[in-house]
Amino acid sequence: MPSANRVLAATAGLLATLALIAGDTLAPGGAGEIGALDVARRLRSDPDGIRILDVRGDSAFADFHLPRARHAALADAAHLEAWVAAARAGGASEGDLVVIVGGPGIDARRPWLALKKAGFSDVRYMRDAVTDWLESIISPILGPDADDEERSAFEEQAEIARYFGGFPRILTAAEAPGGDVSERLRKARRRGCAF
Amino acid sequence: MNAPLYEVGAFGDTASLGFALVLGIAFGWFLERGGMGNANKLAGQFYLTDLAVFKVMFSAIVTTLLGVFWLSELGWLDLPLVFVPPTFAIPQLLGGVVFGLGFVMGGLCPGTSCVSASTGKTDGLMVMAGMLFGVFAFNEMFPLVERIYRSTPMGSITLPELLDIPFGVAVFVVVAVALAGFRAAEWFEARA
Amino acid sequence: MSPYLAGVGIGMVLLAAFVIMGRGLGASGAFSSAVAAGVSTVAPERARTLEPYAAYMGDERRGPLVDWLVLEILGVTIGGALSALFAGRLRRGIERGPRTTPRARLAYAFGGGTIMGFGAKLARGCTSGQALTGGALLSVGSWIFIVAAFAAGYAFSPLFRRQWT
Repeated sequence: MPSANRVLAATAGLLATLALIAGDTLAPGGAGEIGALDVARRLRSDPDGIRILDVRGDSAFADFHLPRARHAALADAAHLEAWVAAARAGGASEGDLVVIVGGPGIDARRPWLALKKAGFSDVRYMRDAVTDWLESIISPILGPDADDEERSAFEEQAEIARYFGGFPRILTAAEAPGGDVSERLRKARRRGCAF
Repeated sequence: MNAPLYEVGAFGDTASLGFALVLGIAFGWFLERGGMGNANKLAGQFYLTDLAVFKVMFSAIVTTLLGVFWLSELGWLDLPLVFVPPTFAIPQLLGGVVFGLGFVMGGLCPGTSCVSASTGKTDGLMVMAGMLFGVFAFNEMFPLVERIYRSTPMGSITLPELLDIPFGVAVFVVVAVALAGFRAAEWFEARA
Repeated sequence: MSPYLAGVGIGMVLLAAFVIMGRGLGASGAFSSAVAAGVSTVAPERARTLEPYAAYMGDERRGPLVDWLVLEILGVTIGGALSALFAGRLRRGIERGPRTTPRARLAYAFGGGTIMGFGAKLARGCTSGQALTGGALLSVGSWIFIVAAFAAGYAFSPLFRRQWT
């Protein structure tokens, strides 16, 4: 093999071997994400077993926050550690579900990672919690052409929505959901599809 | 950590489009340098005569993978802020099979078809035209495929999470497999 | 340039994309934008409301073509041409196997492109967006795509042996 290739292969091999013995770095990915509906279910069934930590700004938190959410602005890193300590002292066990609430421009994954490294086993995050909560709990909608499976799933969701003061609706054929769909998709698209 | 730069607000949308262009130019440059603008060469992969596709692709994957691991480990790249394409197991499996068929038939993939076309090859242009038609056909048939398209979502899950192994172990295994693959590729080409 | 070196070069570009943008590279998405743009000029209502098109309509003020992937693919085209120019490889022609007529090759090219377009939409990406970008991040679905695409390529290769060899 030409020597340039040998050098490349050796470098790759060395870096990979060092990676093998390096510490446990968290991999890329999003398996820690949780949806509003799941959060709502837990809030209802086990309100003391879930801690919601909102890391958005003060005005965002004041405008609207999830039920039983506690505020800890991201800029205040020390506060985060203090919260972790207080949460532990106040009885939040490592077995509790901790949900980090993020929003547009605020990344919920960093505190998520921090708490995971601090030893909390069940930490999840919501990228845009308010939008998710508004869409899933406050005003969930079902299209007129839904099938039976979708309808029964929606019934469960609607029941939870009403519990939290939401207004679930099944659209009639006349209320074409076209515009709605495009708006939501445009938002999803903006988050960057790497393909 | 101050990277990804865009995600920490280092610059705005207009500059990001400028970067798109620059990164694209570099990407196209290296694709052509590696011979990836030549359909005959690309097709050779599947007849075991010229395994450049495998070499280029996996050299790139290994380079980026090691780069991502070490930049993250050294605290220079905030990995959670990097977007990982979400997994939809069944459509990606089926789509992969369909794509592979199209690839061996057309001899070029979407990116390399642009390189081929820009270097003067009419077949590259035809692959591009076909791509547009295929995308159009998919969109028009969407109600028929929607069920499959949306099935088996697994979120932005990665191999280390799925297999419950440390990131570093996964990196080591992937690099080891790639290096072994390169060895095998050289062997196949020597025989051809 | 050795394919390994070219691969390392691409890997560096991809890494730069992660560091600068927090996202990888892509290709098939640009084709989706182009199709959405085309449909929106002919049937704007359809493009705005039908989901697969609407997803690529982007910011209504600027339209689907002012889009990260579209500019990236434009760059790919320019970069490829530049590299060929400097290497004296800029030449009109049709790459085809020794036993294939130009006409047949172009037909295969179009057919292959169509099938790839469909497959890339279904898989939500192609060799750039899924195999390279997702592969480098060890995304499960991307690796499924890589294995499936290579396996299919080998499995179907006998069908096209006459075209290439």
